[in-house]
Amino acid sequence: MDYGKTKYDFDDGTVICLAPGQTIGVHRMPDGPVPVAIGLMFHPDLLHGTDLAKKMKQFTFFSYMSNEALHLSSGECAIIQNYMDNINRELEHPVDKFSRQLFVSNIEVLLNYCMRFYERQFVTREDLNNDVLARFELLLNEYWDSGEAKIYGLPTVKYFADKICLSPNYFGDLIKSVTGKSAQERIQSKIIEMSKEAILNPHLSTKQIADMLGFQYPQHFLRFFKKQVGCTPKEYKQNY
Amino acid sequence: MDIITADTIQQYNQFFGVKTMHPKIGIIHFYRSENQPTHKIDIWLLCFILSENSRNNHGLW
Repeated sequence: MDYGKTKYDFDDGTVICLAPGQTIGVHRMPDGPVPVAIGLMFHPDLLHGTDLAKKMKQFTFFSYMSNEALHLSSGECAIIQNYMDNINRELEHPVDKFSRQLFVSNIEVLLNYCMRFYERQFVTREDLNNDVLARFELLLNEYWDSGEAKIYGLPTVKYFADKICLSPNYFGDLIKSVTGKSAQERIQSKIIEMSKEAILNPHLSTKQIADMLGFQYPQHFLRFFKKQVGCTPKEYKQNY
Repeated sequence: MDIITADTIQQYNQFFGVKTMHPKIGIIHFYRSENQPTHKIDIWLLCFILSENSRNNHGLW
């Protein structure tokens, strides 16, 4: 399966998850094939007061973009299909006091499987992911080398995700999967690397360093450095 | 093409001509539904779509 110039690993099934507020478009092509697709829709109210409601934030794939969909093998497809069938069977059953819990339990298992399959997808796309990682590192360097930090302040994960044309959540999950650290942690460690180098430069004041790195106030830089390194810049310089 | 807003299960089921079995959750078999014109919908629900032969686009149009 191709998506633009990208080869996909599996094409037996595709999962797209949409969060409230997104727009879906369905094109029917004249005399085209009837799409074989099943949609599970549920209102956020269904989850209110359940453990799953608290866990929903971890299912970040609800805010991925369409080109970040989950591509499944036939075995994975069968697992997802099975839980969709369970929910469908439950829908045909008269509503009783167990209905809600059974819906929620099946949705939770379904989403947990999606987490696992996305993790697998990050692993099977190692080459592609390494390319994203390399571009992230390049953009990190460019951000400070070009002086953008001085003008726009500290960069966000969203800034880099936008540059790489990925959704912030997918980008964050990919970086975490490849490096073991979040994108935010990588940005912070980059700032610390540059801070340590700058602190040892006798010609730079704390204000100049804070300004160069993108901190609005020197106090913010001092607090950030102390929190990350465990000592103040002054102590770091003395102990070096 | 108009954008339809669907913030209840009933509205989405009605659009696809599917009977509502539960007010908070529903499943639509796209290959079975009779009413399936080209459309765009603003969905105010959580939506999970498994497709074998995807003709669906979502996100930026």
